[in-house]
Amino acid sequence: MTDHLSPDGLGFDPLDDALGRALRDSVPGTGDADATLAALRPRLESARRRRRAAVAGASALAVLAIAALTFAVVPGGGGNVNTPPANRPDGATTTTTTTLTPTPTEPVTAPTVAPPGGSGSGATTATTDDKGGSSGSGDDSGSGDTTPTTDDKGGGSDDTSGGSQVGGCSGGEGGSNRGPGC
Amino acid sequence: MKPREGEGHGPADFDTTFREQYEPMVRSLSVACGDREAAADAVQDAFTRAFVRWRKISRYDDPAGWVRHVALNRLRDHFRRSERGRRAVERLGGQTDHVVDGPEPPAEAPDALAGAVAGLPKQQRIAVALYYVEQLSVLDVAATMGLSEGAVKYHLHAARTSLREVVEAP
Repeated sequence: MTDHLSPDGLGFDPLDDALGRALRDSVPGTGDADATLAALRPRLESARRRRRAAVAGASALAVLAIAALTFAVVPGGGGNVNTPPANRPDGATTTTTTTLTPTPTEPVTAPTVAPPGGSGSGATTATTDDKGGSSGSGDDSGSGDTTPTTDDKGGGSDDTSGGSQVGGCSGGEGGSNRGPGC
Repeated sequence: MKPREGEGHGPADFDTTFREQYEPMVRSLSVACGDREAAADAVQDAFTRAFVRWRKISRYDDPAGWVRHVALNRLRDHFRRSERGRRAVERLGGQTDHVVDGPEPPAEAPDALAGAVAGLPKQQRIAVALYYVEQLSVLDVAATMGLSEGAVKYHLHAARTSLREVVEAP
Protein backbone atom coordinates (compact mmCIF):
# COMPACT_ATOMS: atom_id res chain seq x y z
CA MET A 1 0.00 0.00 0.00
CA THR A 2 2.77 2.40 0.83
CA ASP A 3 4.84 1.56 -2.22
CA HIS A 4 2.37 3.27 -4.53
CA LEU A 5 2.33 6.80 -3.28
CA SER A 6 1.01 9.34 -5.65
CA PRO A 7 3.36 12.12 -6.79
CA ASP A 8 1.59 14.53 -4.49
CA GLY A 9 2.13 12.35 -1.47
CA LEU A 10 -1.49 11.72 -0.70
CA GLY A 11 -0.72 8.17 0.29
CA PHE A 12 -3.21 6.69 -2.14
CA ASP A 13 -2.91 3.05 -2.99
CA PRO A 14 -3.32 1.39 -6.41
CA LEU A 15 -6.95 2.22 -6.12
CA ASP A 16 -5.95 5.55 -7.58
CA ASP A 17 -4.78 3.97 -10.81
CA ALA A 18 -7.93 1.93 -11.12
CA LEU A 19 -10.08 4.93 -10.33
CA GLY A 20 -8.33 7.14 -12.84
CA ARG A 21 -8.44 4.52 -15.55
CA ALA A 22 -12.11 3.80 -14.98
CA LEU A 23 -13.01 7.49 -15.04
CA ARG A 24 -11.08 8.13 -18.23
CA ASP A 25 -12.70 5.18 -19.89
CA SER A 26 -16.13 6.35 -18.90
CA VAL A 27 -15.77 9.50 -20.98
CA PRO A 28 -15.72 9.02 -24.74
CA GLY A 29 -13.24 10.92 -26.85
CA THR A 30 -14.08 14.22 -28.41
CA GLY A 31 -12.94 13.36 -31.89
CA ASP A 32 -10.46 15.24 -33.99
CA ALA A 33 -9.16 18.40 -32.37
CA ASP A 34 -8.11 19.77 -35.76
CA ALA A 35 -11.63 19.45 -37.07
CA THR A 36 -12.95 21.17 -33.99
CA LEU A 37 -10.40 23.95 -34.39
CA ALA A 38 -11.33 24.40 -38.04
CA ALA A 39 -14.98 24.60 -37.14
CA LEU A 40 -14.16 27.07 -34.43
CA ARG A 41 -12.09 29.32 -36.67
CA PRO A 42 -14.92 31.65 -37.89
CA ARG A 43 -15.99 32.15 -34.32
CA LEU A 44 -12.45 33.01 -33.33
CA GLU A 45 -12.07 35.54 -36.12
CA SER A 46 -15.40 37.11 -35.30
CA ALA A 47 -14.41 37.43 -31.68
CA ARG A 48 -11.13 39.02 -32.70
CA ARG A 49 -12.92 41.57 -34.90
CA ARG A 50 -15.29 42.45 -32.08
CA ARG A 51 -12.40 42.83 -29.72
CA ARG A 52 -10.51 45.13 -32.08
CA ALA A 53 -13.59 47.24 -32.66
CA ALA A 54 -14.13 47.57 -28.95
CA VAL A 55 -10.51 48.55 -28.36
CA ALA A 56 -10.60 51.09 -31.20
CA GLY A 57 -13.80 52.60 -29.88
CA ALA A 58 -12.44 52.84 -26.39
CA SER A 59 -9.25 54.45 -27.67
CA ALA A 60 -11.17 57.03 -29.69
CA LEU A 61 -13.31 57.80 -26.68
CA ALA A 62 -10.24 58.24 -24.52
CA VAL A 63 -8.65 60.61 -27.04
CA LEU A 64 -11.82 62.68 -27.18
CA ALA A 65 -12.00 62.83 -23.43
CA ILE A 66 -8.37 63.95 -23.16
CA ALA A 67 -8.90 66.61 -25.83
CA ALA A 68 -11.97 67.93 -24.08
CA LEU A 69 -10.16 67.98 -20.76
CA THR A 70 -7.20 69.80 -22.26
CA PHE A 71 -9.41 72.41 -23.85
CA ALA A 72 -11.16 72.99 -20.58
CA VAL A 73 -8.05 73.22 -18.43
CA VAL A 74 -5.60 75.23 -20.54
CA PRO A 75 -5.67 78.98 -19.61
CA GLY A 76 -7.22 81.13 -22.28
CA GLY A 77 -9.36 78.38 -23.51
CA GLY A 78 -12.30 79.75 -21.66
CA GLY A 79 -12.64 82.86 -23.79
CA ASN A 80 -10.65 85.47 -21.81
CA VAL A 81 -8.30 87.21 -24.20
CA ASN A 82 -5.60 89.55 -22.93
CA THR A 83 -4.74 92.16 -25.54
CA PRO A 84 -2.05 94.83 -25.01
CA PRO A 85 -3.12 98.43 -25.29
CA ALA A 86 -2.71 99.86 -28.71
CA ASN A 87 -0.68 103.07 -29.35
CA ARG A 88 0.01 103.82 -25.76
CA PRO A 89 3.48 104.76 -24.57
CA ASP A 90 5.08 102.70 -21.96
CA GLY A 91 4.43 103.84 -18.46
CA ALA A 92 1.47 105.91 -19.33
CA THR A 93 -1.34 105.42 -17.05
CA THR A 94 -4.80 106.28 -17.70
CA THR A 95 -6.98 107.55 -15.01
CA THR A 96 -10.54 107.95 -15.51
CA THR A 97 -12.19 110.62 -13.49
CA THR A 98 -15.80 111.07 -13.28
CA THR A 99 -16.86 114.62 -12.91
CA LEU A 100 -20.24 115.62 -11.99
CA THR A 101 -21.35 118.51 -14.10
CA PRO A 102 -23.42 120.85 -12.08
CA THR A 103 -26.74 121.58 -13.40
CA PRO A 104 -26.98 125.15 -14.43
CA THR A 105 -28.99 127.32 -12.13
CA GLU A 106 -30.83 130.38 -13.02
CA PRO A 107 -28.47 133.28 -13.13
CA VAL A 108 -29.16 136.04 -10.79
CA THR A 109 -30.00 138.96 -12.86
CA ALA A 110 -29.17 142.27 -11.53
CA PRO A 111 -32.14 144.49 -11.32
CA THR A 112 -32.02 147.25 -13.67
CA VAL A 113 -33.10 150.37 -11.95
CA ALA A 114 -33.51 153.54 -13.70
CA PRO A 115 -32.15 156.38 -11.65
CA PRO A 116 -34.66 158.98 -10.80
CA GLY A 117 -32.82 161.79 -12.22
CA GLY A 118 -29.94 160.26 -13.55
CA SER A 119 -28.70 160.94 -16.86
CA GLY A 120 -27.05 157.77 -17.25
CA SER A 121 -27.77 155.36 -19.78
CA GLY A 122 -29.80 153.44 -17.40
CA ALA A 123 -27.81 150.39 -17.29
CA THR A 124 -26.49 151.04 -13.96
CA THR A 125 -25.11 148.15 -12.25
CA ALA A 126 -25.21 148.11 -8.59
CA THR A 127 -21.92 148.18 -6.91
CA THR A 128 -21.45 147.04 -3.48
CA ASP A 129 -18.78 149.10 -2.14
CA ASP A 130 -18.79 148.88 1.51
CA LYS A 131 -16.02 151.17 2.24
CA GLY A 132 -17.11 152.60 5.43
CA GLY A 133 -20.55 152.73 4.21
CA SER A 134 -20.23 156.26 3.18
CA SER A 135 -20.59 155.82 -0.42
CA GLY A 136 -23.94 154.43 -0.38
CA SER A 137 -25.55 157.43 -1.81
CA GLY A 138 -25.43 156.05 -5.18
CA ASP A 139 -23.71 157.17 -8.15
CA ASP A 140 -26.27 158.35 -10.39
CA SER A 141 -24.01 160.14 -12.55
CA GLY A 142 -22.31 157.15 -13.69
CA SER A 143 -22.16 156.44 -17.18
CA GLY A 144 -23.60 153.24 -16.79
CA ASP A 145 -21.90 150.02 -17.05
CA THR A 146 -20.24 149.23 -13.92
CA THR A 147 -19.63 145.76 -12.91
CA PRO A 148 -21.02 144.82 -9.62
CA THR A 149 -18.31 144.04 -7.29
CA THR A 150 -18.33 143.03 -3.80
CA ASP A 151 -15.57 144.67 -2.06
CA ASP A 152 -15.67 144.30 1.60
CA LYS A 153 -12.67 146.29 2.47
CA GLY A 154 -12.71 147.59 5.93
CA GLY A 155 -16.39 147.57 6.18
CA GLY A 156 -18.36 145.65 8.60
CA SER A 157 -20.49 142.90 7.76
CA ASP A 158 -22.82 143.25 4.99
CA ASP A 159 -25.82 143.26 7.08
CA THR A 160 -24.74 145.70 9.63
CA SER A 161 -23.18 148.14 7.35
CA GLY A 162 -26.12 148.25 5.19
CA GLY A 163 -24.35 146.90 2.25
CA SER A 164 -26.67 145.61 -0.30
CA GLN A 165 -26.42 142.03 -1.12
CA VAL A 166 -28.42 142.20 -4.17
CA GLY A 167 -28.50 144.80 -6.62
CA GLY A 168 -26.42 147.73 -7.14
CA CYS A 169 -28.00 150.21 -4.88
CA SER A 170 -25.47 150.22 -2.23
CA GLY A 171 -26.18 152.10 0.76
CA GLY A 172 -24.95 152.24 4.22
CA GLU A 173 -27.43 154.50 5.72
CA GLY A 174 -30.13 153.15 7.79
CA GLY A 175 -29.09 149.71 7.30
CA SER A 176 -31.36 149.44 4.41
CA ASN A 177 -30.55 146.95 1.88
CA ARG A 178 -31.31 149.38 -0.67
CA GLY A 179 -29.59 152.56 -0.95
CA PRO A 180 -31.21 155.84 -1.43
CA GLY A 181 -30.55 155.63 -4.97
CA CYS A 182 -32.67 152.66 -5.46
CA MET B 1 3.65 32.08 -33.51
CA LYS B 2 7.31 31.36 -33.24
CA PRO B 3 9.18 31.46 -30.00
CA ARG B 4 11.29 34.54 -29.66
CA GLU B 5 14.98 34.27 -29.95
CA GLY B 6 16.88 34.78 -26.80
CA GLU B 7 14.06 33.68 -24.61
CA GLY B 8 14.13 30.33 -22.97
CA HIS B 9 10.38 30.12 -22.74
CA GLY B 10 8.76 31.64 -25.76
CA PRO B 11 5.11 32.35 -26.16
CA ALA B 12 2.94 29.34 -26.79
CA ASP B 13 1.24 28.73 -30.09
CA PHE B 14 -2.52 28.88 -29.97
CA ASP B 15 -3.18 26.04 -32.39
CA THR B 16 -0.73 23.75 -30.66
CA THR B 17 -2.20 24.51 -27.28
CA PHE B 18 -5.68 23.87 -28.58
CA ARG B 19 -4.75 20.53 -30.12
CA GLU B 20 -3.01 19.38 -26.97
CA GLN B 21 -5.43 20.62 -24.37
CA TYR B 22 -8.91 20.64 -25.89
CA GLU B 23 -9.77 16.98 -25.50
CA PRO B 24 -8.41 16.49 -21.95
CA MET B 25 -10.26 19.58 -20.81
CA VAL B 26 -13.53 18.50 -22.32
CA ARG B 27 -13.20 15.04 -20.83
CA SER B 28 -12.45 16.25 -17.32
CA LEU B 29 -15.15 18.88 -17.34
CA SER B 30 -17.59 16.32 -18.69
CA VAL B 31 -16.90 14.19 -15.63
CA ALA B 32 -17.17 17.24 -13.41
CA CYS B 33 -20.55 18.34 -14.66
CA GLY B 34 -21.98 15.25 -16.28
CA ASP B 35 -22.94 17.20 -19.39
CA ARG B 36 -20.64 16.68 -22.30
CA GLU B 37 -22.13 19.35 -24.53
CA ALA B 38 -21.99 21.95 -21.82
CA ALA B 39 -18.37 21.04 -21.12
CA ALA B 40 -17.44 21.33 -24.80
CA ASP B 41 -19.18 24.71 -25.07
CA ALA B 42 -17.39 25.99 -22.00
CA VAL B 43 -13.98 24.92 -23.26
CA GLN B 44 -14.58 26.37 -26.70
CA ASP B 45 -15.76 29.61 -25.18
CA ALA B 46 -12.65 29.76 -23.01
CA PHE B 47 -10.41 29.17 -26.00
CA THR B 48 -12.24 31.90 -27.88
CA ARG B 49 -11.60 34.33 -25.09
CA ALA B 50 -8.00 33.27 -24.99
CA PHE B 51 -7.65 33.71 -28.74
CA VAL B 52 -8.43 37.43 -28.70
CA ARG B 53 -5.94 37.97 -25.89
CA TRP B 54 -3.43 35.40 -26.98
CA ARG B 55 -0.56 37.86 -27.33
CA LYS B 56 -0.73 38.42 -23.59
CA ILE B 57 -1.86 35.00 -22.44
CA SER B 58 0.76 33.17 -24.44
CA ARG B 59 3.42 34.72 -22.22
CA TYR B 60 1.92 33.28 -19.08
CA ASP B 61 3.66 30.43 -17.39
CA ASP B 62 0.68 28.17 -18.03
CA PRO B 63 -1.62 29.44 -20.79
CA ALA B 64 -3.59 26.20 -20.68
CA GLY B 65 -4.21 26.75 -16.99
CA TRP B 66 -5.76 30.11 -17.78
CA VAL B 67 -8.03 28.50 -20.35
CA ARG B 68 -8.97 25.71 -17.95
CA HIS B 69 -9.78 28.19 -15.20
CA VAL B 70 -11.98 30.25 -17.52
CA ALA B 71 -13.72 27.13 -18.81
CA LEU B 72 -14.50 25.99 -15.29
CA ASN B 73 -15.92 29.39 -14.40
CA ARG B 74 -18.05 29.36 -17.53
CA LEU B 75 -19.31 25.94 -16.60
CA ARG B 76 -20.20 27.13 -13.11
CA ASP B 77 -22.09 30.08 -14.56
CA HIS B 78 -23.90 27.77 -16.93
CA PHE B 79 -25.08 25.47 -14.19
CA ARG B 80 -25.94 28.34 -11.91
CA ARG B 81 -28.27 29.64 -14.57
CA SER B 82 -29.64 26.16 -15.16
CA GLU B 83 -30.26 25.74 -11.46
CA ARG B 84 -32.09 29.03 -11.24
CA GLY B 85 -34.22 28.03 -14.20
CA ARG B 86 -35.00 24.67 -12.65
CA ARG B 87 -36.05 26.25 -9.38
CA ALA B 88 -38.20 28.76 -11.18
CA VAL B 89 -39.99 25.95 -12.99
CA GLU B 90 -40.49 24.14 -9.69
CA ARG B 91 -41.96 27.25 -8.11
CA LEU B 92 -44.37 27.54 -10.97
CA GLY B 93 -45.53 23.99 -10.35
CA GLY B 94 -43.91 22.33 -13.30
CA GLN B 95 -41.44 19.50 -13.32
CA THR B 96 -38.01 19.45 -14.79
CA ASP B 97 -36.83 16.46 -16.65
CA HIS B 98 -33.18 17.36 -16.51
CA VAL B 99 -31.21 17.89 -13.33
CA VAL B 100 -27.69 18.94 -14.17
CA ASP B 101 -26.14 20.09 -10.94
CA GLY B 102 -28.02 18.10 -8.37
CA PRO B 103 -26.92 15.01 -6.53
CA GLU B 104 -28.63 12.70 -8.96
CA PRO B 105 -26.51 11.21 -11.71
CA PRO B 106 -27.01 12.68 -15.15
CA ALA B 107 -29.08 10.80 -17.68
CA GLU B 108 -26.05 9.90 -19.76
CA ALA B 109 -24.14 8.22 -16.90
CA PRO B 110 -23.08 4.96 -18.47
CA ASP B 111 -22.14 2.99 -15.43
CA ALA B 112 -22.09 2.86 -11.66
CA LEU B 113 -18.83 4.76 -11.37
CA ALA B 114 -20.06 7.69 -13.36
CA GLY B 115 -23.22 7.65 -11.29
CA ALA B 116 -21.19 7.64 -8.08
CA VAL B 117 -19.06 10.54 -9.30
CA ALA B 118 -22.15 12.47 -10.22
CA GLY B 119 -23.44 11.94 -6.69
CA LEU B 120 -20.41 13.60 -5.13
CA PRO B 121 -20.54 17.17 -3.90
CA LYS B 122 -19.58 19.67 -6.53
CA GLN B 123 -16.11 20.54 -5.23
CA GLN B 124 -15.18 16.87 -4.84
CA ARG B 125 -16.46 16.15 -8.32
CA ILE B 126 -14.36 18.87 -9.88
CA ALA B 127 -11.27 17.85 -7.93
CA VAL B 128 -11.68 14.22 -8.98
CA ALA B 129 -12.20 15.17 -12.59
CA LEU B 130 -9.14 17.42 -12.76
CA TYR B 131 -6.92 15.08 -10.79
CA TYR B 132 -7.89 11.67 -12.18
CA VAL B 133 -9.16 12.40 -15.66
CA GLU B 134 -6.93 15.29 -16.73
CA GLN B 135 -4.14 14.03 -14.48
CA LEU B 136 -3.15 17.41 -13.13
CA SER B 137 -1.03 17.80 -10.04
CA VAL B 138 -2.62 18.83 -6.77
CA LEU B 139 -1.01 22.23 -7.20
CA ASP B 140 -2.57 22.73 -10.62
CA VAL B 141 -5.94 21.53 -9.38
CA ALA B 142 -5.72 24.03 -6.55
CA ALA B 143 -4.83 26.82 -8.96
CA THR B 144 -7.68 25.92 -11.28
CA MET B 145 -10.25 25.70 -8.51
CA GLY B 146 -8.95 28.70 -6.62
CA LEU B 147 -8.40 26.66 -3.47
CA SER B 148 -5.46 25.87 -1.28
CA GLU B 149 -3.46 22.72 -1.75
CA GLY B 150 -4.73 21.34 1.53
CA ALA B 151 -8.33 21.92 0.58
CA VAL B 152 -7.82 20.03 -2.67
CA LYS B 153 -6.25 17.10 -0.81
CA TYR B 154 -9.19 17.07 1.55
CA HIS B 155 -11.69 16.97 -1.32
CA LEU B 156 -9.74 14.25 -3.08
CA HIS B 157 -9.54 12.14 0.04
CA ALA B 158 -13.25 12.46 0.72
CA ALA B 159 -14.11 11.62 -2.87
CA ARG B 160 -11.82 8.64 -2.93
CA THR B 161 -13.42 7.31 0.24
CA SER B 162 -16.84 7.60 -1.34
CA LEU B 163 -15.78 5.96 -4.60
CA ARG B 164 -13.80 3.12 -3.08
CA GLU B 165 -16.75 0.74 -2.87
CA VAL B 166 -17.70 1.24 -6.46
CA VAL B 167 -14.18 0.75 -7.73
CA GLU B 168 -13.41 -2.29 -5.62
CA ALA B 169 -16.72 -3.93 -6.34
CA PRO B 170 -16.36 -6.91 -8.68
